[in-house]
Amino acid sequence: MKHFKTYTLFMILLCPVIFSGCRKLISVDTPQNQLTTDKVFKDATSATAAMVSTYALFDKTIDVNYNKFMGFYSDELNYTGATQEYIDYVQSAVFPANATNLNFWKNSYFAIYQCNDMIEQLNHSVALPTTTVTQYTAEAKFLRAWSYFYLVNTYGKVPLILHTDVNNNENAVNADSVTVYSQIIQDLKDAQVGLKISYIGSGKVRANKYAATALLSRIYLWQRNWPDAESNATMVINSGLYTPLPSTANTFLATSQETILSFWTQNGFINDAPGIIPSSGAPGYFYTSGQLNTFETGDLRKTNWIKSTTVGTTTYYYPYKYHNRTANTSAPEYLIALRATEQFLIRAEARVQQGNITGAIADLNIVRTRAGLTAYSGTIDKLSVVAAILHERCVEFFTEWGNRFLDLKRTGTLSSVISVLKPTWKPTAVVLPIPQNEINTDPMLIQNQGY
Amino acid sequence: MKKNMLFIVLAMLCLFFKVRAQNSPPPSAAQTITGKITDEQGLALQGATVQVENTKTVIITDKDGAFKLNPPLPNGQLLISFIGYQKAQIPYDLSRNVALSVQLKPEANSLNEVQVIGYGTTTKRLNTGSVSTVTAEEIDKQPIINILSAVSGRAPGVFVQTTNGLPGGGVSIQIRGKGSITAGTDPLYIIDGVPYSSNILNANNAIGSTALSGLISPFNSINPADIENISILKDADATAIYGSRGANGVILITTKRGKTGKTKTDISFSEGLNTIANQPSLLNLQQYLQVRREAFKNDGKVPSADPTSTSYAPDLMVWDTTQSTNWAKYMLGGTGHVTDVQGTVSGGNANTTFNIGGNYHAETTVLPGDNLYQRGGIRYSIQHHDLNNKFYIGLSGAYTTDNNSMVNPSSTLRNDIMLPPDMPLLDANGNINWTYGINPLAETKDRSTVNTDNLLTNLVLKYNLTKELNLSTSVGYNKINIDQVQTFPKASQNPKNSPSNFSYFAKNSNRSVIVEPQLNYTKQFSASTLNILAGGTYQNTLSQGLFINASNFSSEELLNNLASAGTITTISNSYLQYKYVSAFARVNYNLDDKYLINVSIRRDGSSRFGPGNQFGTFGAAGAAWIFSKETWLEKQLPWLSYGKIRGSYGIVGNDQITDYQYLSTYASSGYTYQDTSGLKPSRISNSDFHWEVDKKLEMGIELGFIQDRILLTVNRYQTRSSNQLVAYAIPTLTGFSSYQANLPAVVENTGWEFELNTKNIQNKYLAWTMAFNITLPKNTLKSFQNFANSSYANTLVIGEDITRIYGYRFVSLDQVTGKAIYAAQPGSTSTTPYFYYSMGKKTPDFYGGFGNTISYKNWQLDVFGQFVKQMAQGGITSSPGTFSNNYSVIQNRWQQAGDQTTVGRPSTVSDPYYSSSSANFFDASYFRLKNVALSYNISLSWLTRLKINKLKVYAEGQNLYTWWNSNTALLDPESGAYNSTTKNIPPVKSWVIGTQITF
Repeated sequence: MKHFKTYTLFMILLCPVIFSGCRKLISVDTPQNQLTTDKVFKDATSATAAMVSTYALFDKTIDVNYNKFMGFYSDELNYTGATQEYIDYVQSAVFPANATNLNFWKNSYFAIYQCNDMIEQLNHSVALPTTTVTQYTAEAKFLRAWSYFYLVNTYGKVPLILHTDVNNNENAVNADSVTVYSQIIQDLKDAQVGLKISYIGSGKVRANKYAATALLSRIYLWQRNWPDAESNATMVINSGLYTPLPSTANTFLATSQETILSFWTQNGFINDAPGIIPSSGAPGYFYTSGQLNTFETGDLRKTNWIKSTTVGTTTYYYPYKYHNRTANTSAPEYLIALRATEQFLIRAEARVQQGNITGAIADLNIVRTRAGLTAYSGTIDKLSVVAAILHERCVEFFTEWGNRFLDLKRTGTLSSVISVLKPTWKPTAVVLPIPQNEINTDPMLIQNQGY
Repeated sequence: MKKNMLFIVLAMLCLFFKVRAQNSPPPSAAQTITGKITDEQGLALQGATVQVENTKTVIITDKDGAFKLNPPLPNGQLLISFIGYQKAQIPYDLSRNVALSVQLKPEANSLNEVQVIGYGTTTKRLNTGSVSTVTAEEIDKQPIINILSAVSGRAPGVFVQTTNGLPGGGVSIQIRGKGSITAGTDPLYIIDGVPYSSNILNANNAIGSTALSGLISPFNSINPADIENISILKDADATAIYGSRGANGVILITTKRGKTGKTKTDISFSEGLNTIANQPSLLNLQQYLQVRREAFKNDGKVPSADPTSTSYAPDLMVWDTTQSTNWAKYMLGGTGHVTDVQGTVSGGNANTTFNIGGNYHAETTVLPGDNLYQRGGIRYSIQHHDLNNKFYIGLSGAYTTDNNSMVNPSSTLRNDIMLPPDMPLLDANGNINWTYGINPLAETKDRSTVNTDNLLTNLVLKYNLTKELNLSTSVGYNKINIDQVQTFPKASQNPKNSPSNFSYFAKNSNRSVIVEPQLNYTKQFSASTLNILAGGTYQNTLSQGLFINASNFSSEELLNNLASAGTITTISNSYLQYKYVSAFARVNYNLDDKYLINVSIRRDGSSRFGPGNQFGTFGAAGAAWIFSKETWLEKQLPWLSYGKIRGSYGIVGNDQITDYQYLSTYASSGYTYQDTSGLKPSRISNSDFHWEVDKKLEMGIELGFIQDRILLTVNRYQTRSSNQLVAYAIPTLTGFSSYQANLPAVVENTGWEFELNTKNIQNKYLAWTMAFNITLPKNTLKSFQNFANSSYANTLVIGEDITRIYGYRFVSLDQVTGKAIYAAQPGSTSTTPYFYYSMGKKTPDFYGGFGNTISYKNWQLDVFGQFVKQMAQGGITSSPGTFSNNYSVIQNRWQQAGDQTTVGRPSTVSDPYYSSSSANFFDASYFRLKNVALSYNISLSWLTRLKINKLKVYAEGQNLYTWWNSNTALLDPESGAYNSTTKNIPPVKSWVIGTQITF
């Protein structure tokens, strides 16, 4: 017992020593592969790394889950394989649990989170120079507007997330499209102010003032705000930076004159290219004969931007705007987001709607001439010219960022065009379903009608 | 009583007496008896009780097993007892100046077998907690490669599921139900005192989703033959000593030790075959074609041979409809060969024992192509104590390396099985047929190689400061390196997707150090024993991982060589450091082997929590009353040989969360943009999450009848988990899919456990024992704060099981169109099917095991079965009629008005609701003949001449037969339907024959 007392005493004395050191014993350093958020925004290099990482998402994760699928969903592309998730798009009957649909939604909102975090962190940052804070905040707002444009057009009433506070966001409600659009316009106006005319770094891969202006002109077109659509398009065109339009052979090169903004690629090919351009044999997805037949004879876009391959007795056509499907350093391609041709066609449409038919045809002809076509020779009435412009958009922007779907939808012709082609079409399919996962986890969110 | 007693007084003693008598004082002067108590091997037994019969004179043996006492009477009987040994009754006579030497025989009764508990041992009889044990004897009979499989069906309250039957595949264990909605439900695993991670911690970098065997289970790097026993701690009393890590139960794995005696060499060798336990039941070719034709007819379409047509149907129009392949059989129908060799040398003297062994195991798989899994290792265990028994040192450990090289058609297995039965592998020109988009012949060119090195070692130092007090320190070290390469040659991929050669490389390591100083005080009183344990733990674990996705290799031959990659597509890495410190204490008091009390407390600190939330206190109290020892009862109920009531209550925690969740950081995004390597936010950080609290309550009764030939245990448990640490699910519109938080909910797991062991026959030649256990678990979400606004409002229901399975509710078939009708949301005017109807739960209704062991002379036969009553979601992915095969359950489809069925009319357009509806939900109950083992001990005189002590030959079978309703859309009732993460390859049926030689 004597010993016991001694050792008990010893242990009691030892205890405080042990426990005072406990906090130290379990203190761990910041993990080697991570940087605390405050440090990221103390230094221009790391802040740039965070900024450009957001841009990378659009080629890496967003476009690959959107463009070709919206091609299926409308009438541009076909797929006869067995993957049910793809068949859903081909039949324009996307189910809420569809993983591709979730991927597009999720990746878009992840980009929005990054933009929101950038905006918040830059706002607090005292270490970064004001010019950087202004520039990067404007870029984040531009990318946020870009993301919301596609979300609101694809899903209709999407939640409008402008901050990173999870406690508010997890119970986000559907916002009506008017609210979303006014936020997009606000962001783009802010971006126009904050961005410079010059591009940062080499290439046109970071948004500049004209990128914001170009997207804004598109937004105004969608809103049928013809005067603003025209004035913004004119601003871009008159800058002289993007004209003359290059030949159709060079339109999609990284060095293309008409590019207003593109998403940089590391190896000179866009992420979706290996999926669209076959290395040999039949392509996985092919251009529909319906769309193929809409090209006028002699259209260079048909010869330069569409390619065919014959397997057995079947000839397949596939989009060939981008040529590189493996690394190419001599003629790299970036994923083009905004190009000047669109500004001409936006202005043409805005002009004709305001009664300036001559101006509209002049813009239209710039596009037609580049495509190797003769000047517009149709009827000079408003409806015909609008139809001609829309047709021009269809053959100009096929399989680019879901343009066909977006155009049919904004002109109210989606249902009438697609229902003829697909017996599975329902009028409610003008919007895609909000992914099931979101409905599961956000009880405040209301699913779109018909799903 | 006499029958049960054995006393051995060495014959030598007589001689000794005679010699000593001549030099001794006269007999009448002697008043003291001295003696020494040892075990069969002659090892001193410290703490044995020596009592003079019918007196209060009692003494406890010292560290040398010696005692000295002055009996009040000149002659009589000495009663000697020690836990786990048969009692001995020795006569004495003071007139002979007695010096006794007594050897105690171990008690054959299972109640007295040593039971391993946290930081110590006890016996089943004296345990106040709820512990199940699986012994080496039970493990050795099972031809398994993952040690966790050995537990299946053998321990009540422990639900074991083989999620993937391939070598390296996973086995999941859940002790007493799922307490957490999303956090880890893995028990804490401790091998020889060293915590062992049950999964790859940095799962982000481990390539599991593209491996056919799923995420690697580190338990494949443990040699089952090295294991002495597996102890499963279940209630608060047993687990609270592990504090914050005990919530999901604790599994203690103890490896084999050497025994005193002559040096013994054991060699065993076995050889066997593996096939898949169950094949899914699919449509045959004629049935498939019939359904397809119906589909086209119903849709008013004509199947076309034109590949650009939307009615393209090569299965009907192009392929040879007389050639049929069963794709399930093609993918999983192979036969694997198994070879296993084990060798051990063990032995030792009174001071030092050792056990050194080596092992090698090789097996091929049920998959097509070249597959080989190999495992080899060495194990060592050395124990030594000095002559005066003051100092003890023990070192044990194992080094295991395994290599798993197999074909890896991982992304397409589900679709491969469901290929149209007439799809030819090659087209008319002899090239790979890519019409369907996938081709098993090509995909089996994908390969996966996994190399694992695992070193696990433990050093124990102990010093007896006094008779009662000892100080010990245990130092453990574990390092696992897992090196994975998955290669995807261009030739294995559909040329339509314009593939390129690519490979995944992953390197993961996990290094863990644990130091546990302990102070142990044991005081024997005349009728009681007090044991106090105090200790501390310091653990430091570092997990690192690197993942590289590389493509454009110069040659398919060089896919394993990173340097030959043309493009590095993705690089990501992980770095997780975990530090854990704690202090614990336990007080155990045993009065008269009748009243037992056990109280434990532990204070833990963990680096996984943010500042201010790092420390938490846990503890439990347990008590037991062995009422059969009450004399009044012994007389009343002579047939009751053993009776114990025990209960426990305590608080334990769970810290199975990822590190750094409180920290707001950016990490590499893996994307380079404008030649700048990108950074992205790592997570939504939460600095507020804190320890979860699990309150466990248990009552148990243990009964033994007819001299313990019948043993019955009944447990009732209740666990209430609150403030659960979960990866709280959030909509991805927030930017992330979850963040670390405490769930404001209470989840209750309750259940009954019954365990019955009987010795039906026990005589000189024939012995027959029987074991049966059954568990009836129940899981309920009791409450949830602000439930309606939570992200679980749709998926969970208060009052229902948290493993609830929900989906569309199939109502009936429209008798005109043959289309399925699903129920809309209750109370809604919409006709859109409602997704959140309860279909059932994953928690089984009951599960258990039933085993028989019969030995007759040199023969022994074991038969063990395992059963589960449960429902499971089926694997149907599309409704009948689409361009893929289906389970044969859809044969029962609607064909004409009036057909009463749940399967709609075939159509080429899939019914998107069908696979998530109650029509794809099946009874997955089964009874599986888990293990049959027959062995024969050859005892011939020539063996003795060859110095062979034992020669055993045996035949063993695992998963031999399963009784279940096979007409369901499941691969197997145990592994369930295919899941893209775990792959759910059914467990294998194995046949093994072998021999074991001891000399």
